[in-house]
Amino acid sequence: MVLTDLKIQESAYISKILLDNDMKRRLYDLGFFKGTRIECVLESPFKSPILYRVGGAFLALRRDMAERIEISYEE
Amino acid sequence: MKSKKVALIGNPNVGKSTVFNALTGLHQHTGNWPGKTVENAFGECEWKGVSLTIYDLPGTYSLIHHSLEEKVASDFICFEEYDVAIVVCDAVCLERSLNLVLQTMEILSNVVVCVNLMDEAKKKEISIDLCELEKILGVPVIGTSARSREGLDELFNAVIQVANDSYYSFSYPKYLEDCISILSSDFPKIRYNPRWIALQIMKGDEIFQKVPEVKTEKVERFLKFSRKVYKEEDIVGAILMESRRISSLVVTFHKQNYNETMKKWDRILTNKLTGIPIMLCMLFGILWLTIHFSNIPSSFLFDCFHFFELKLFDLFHFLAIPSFLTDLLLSGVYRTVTWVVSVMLPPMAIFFPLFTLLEDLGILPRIAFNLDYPFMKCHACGKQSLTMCMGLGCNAVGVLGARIIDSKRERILAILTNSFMPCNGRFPAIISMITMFVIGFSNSFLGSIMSAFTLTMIILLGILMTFLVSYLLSKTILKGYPSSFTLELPPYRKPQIGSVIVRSIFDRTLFVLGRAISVAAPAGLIIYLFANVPVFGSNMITILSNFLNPFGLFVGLDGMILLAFLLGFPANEIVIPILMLGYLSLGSMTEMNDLVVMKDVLVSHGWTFLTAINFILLCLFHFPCSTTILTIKKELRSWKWAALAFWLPTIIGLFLCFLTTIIFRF
Ligand SMILES: Nc1nc2c(ncn2[C@@H]2O[C@H](COP(=O)(O)OP(=O)(O)OP(=O)(O)O)[C@@H](O)[C@H]2O)c(=O)[nH]1
Ligand SMILES: [Mg+2]
Repeated sequence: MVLTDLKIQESAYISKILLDNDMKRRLYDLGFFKGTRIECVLESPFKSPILYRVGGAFLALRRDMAERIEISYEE
Repeated sequence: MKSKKVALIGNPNVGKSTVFNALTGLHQHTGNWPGKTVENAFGECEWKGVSLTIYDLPGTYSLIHHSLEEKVASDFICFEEYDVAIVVCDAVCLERSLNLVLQTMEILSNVVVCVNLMDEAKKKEISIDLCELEKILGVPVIGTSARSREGLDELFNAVIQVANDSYYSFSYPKYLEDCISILSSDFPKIRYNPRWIALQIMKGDEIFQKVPEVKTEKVERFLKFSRKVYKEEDIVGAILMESRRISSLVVTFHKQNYNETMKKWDRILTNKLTGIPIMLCMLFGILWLTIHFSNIPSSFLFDCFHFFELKLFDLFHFLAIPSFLTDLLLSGVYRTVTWVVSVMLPPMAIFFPLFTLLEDLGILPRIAFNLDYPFMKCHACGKQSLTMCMGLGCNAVGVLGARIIDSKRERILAILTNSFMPCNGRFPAIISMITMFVIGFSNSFLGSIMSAFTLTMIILLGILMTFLVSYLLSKTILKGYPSSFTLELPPYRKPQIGSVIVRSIFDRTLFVLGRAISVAAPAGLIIYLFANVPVFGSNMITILSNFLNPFGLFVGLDGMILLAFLLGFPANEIVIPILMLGYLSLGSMTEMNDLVVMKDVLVSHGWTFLTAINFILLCLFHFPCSTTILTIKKELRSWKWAALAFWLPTIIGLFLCFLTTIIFRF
């Protein structure tokens, strides 16, 4: 399952990030890491980017990026 | 007296600049969106006999930089010499803030942790055990609410007292620890933490430029092996896990859904149906308020200045000052300057506070969120819309603000297209053309609504052009795919209306106005001399405008208009006064405070509806002012881009004028 499969208001845990190193590093700094709980908050008018909640922060990711983050419902 | 150098670091939008202002009493700009500060600033203050120099840095998520504004911060943190670092944390997302705290504490020992936004955390029923956190980290931890100045005394005390000499350490996987101890065993004495230097060496060569003395023979021998086994993920993971562990020990959430109101508003502002219309309405609303409420003060200022002009004229006459000098000073300098003041001051004094209000509320990042998709389709970045918003105030600020865009290519796109947003200096010229030639005269309610509507359409044209040009550029000279995009949406915050008004009037309005006046005065002088000093049996104005006239007429304008735009290069504000002075110098002198009179003058020089439309088009699409060009040169470190930023809009503007002229004539 990937992040874009998450419906609005649903949450899950990040299991793997399939992006290049630079991007991965960026996401780590924003708190996206294995085991982080993530909630899908809403979509923008054009369906991309999508807003997620990680910890107390609200972060928007483009759809193509969100598609490359794997998640699972169990921690 | 003892003195200390103190750096303020932290994630974007946690209130660093607010803390900075509270500590130093200065007025560094703050705003409710990540990326407000893009340059280092410093200020001085004194506390209990210690003089402190405080540095406000741009926000950064980590010490590994991605964007330019983050590089400014991380280079400072890692390699500048200073005594204390205050890491400002967000009490609402402490875990992420701790990540940066830990990274910093690996580099520095003298760290003070300032957990800001305590008031927000309290409202969201999040409690933080600061004592426990202090015990775990081993450095002073101070809770503050910088906006209401709570906790600042404690922060000051902690800063002057802190004297810590150990780095925070936690363990990395064993293979990394082994590498670290082998590498660091051979270091000479350095002022950095050997553990951190060892990690940097494993990462790449960059560190050798900053700290060349660690490049010993043994280090070089071991380099290849250590770099092969090095996995950055393990380091980041260790730091993240440690912050997660600490935060779980000190943070308690008493309420599950503490973000409901923000989500509710976001659902409206970013909704498929309402999102973009609301943003357009806001643009229209701001423009309408600006136009409607600046009419009266504007004409009041005109009347005052006119009254003084007559008095001054009498005075000059009384003092028997030669009439040439009187004319030069009064008709040339005084009129240009007062024109600029009366036309510029009221709209700016309304526009800037309104804009700052939206900024403080947290609306700006929502615009970027809504518009990212179309920008992505043009291979650009949604944050470009933030720079465009800033460009509405001042293009030079917009260009500087483009630092928040990570990818260089996308940053250049944003910079080159920024002048398609008419800055405040261009509003009045466009608005007066709309009033005179498009809607006719009325200071009425309906009149200002129509003007605002037309101006909104003109800005939309600028936005469309931005998309088009961004697309074309990224298909030609700036080829490339859209890079990654992450954008943080801050919580909505109640703006502090009083300070918003005071600050935006003092810092922005008066600043921009001062710049305009300092250009307007000499410009008025030069134009007057150009118009009145005889050369070759004529005068410079006539010669120059006659020279430009054929080309001007060709594109549906005239020579004087082109000349006014050229002479207005230092500041767009003076284009209209120059134009009027130029026309008037050719005929008889008239007052130029009244739009009716102004229209008569223009019409008598052959202006038609078409000329006005073309004037507006050229006003929207022409070279940015000299300040902006210099900023572009500085930001992109190349005259080539600056030249392109000059020619690109100019050619587009002239071409559009030519096009409308052809269409009109047939
Ligand atoms: N409620 C509350 N708001 C605060 C506090 N401190 C700062 N703010 C608000 O938070 C927003 C961001 O403040 P800034 O000082 O601009 O943040 P910054 O860390 O300098 O941001 P960047 O320069 O973008 O990195 C502003 O709207 C401030 O008014 C606080 O203690 N309480
Ligand atoms: Mg700041």
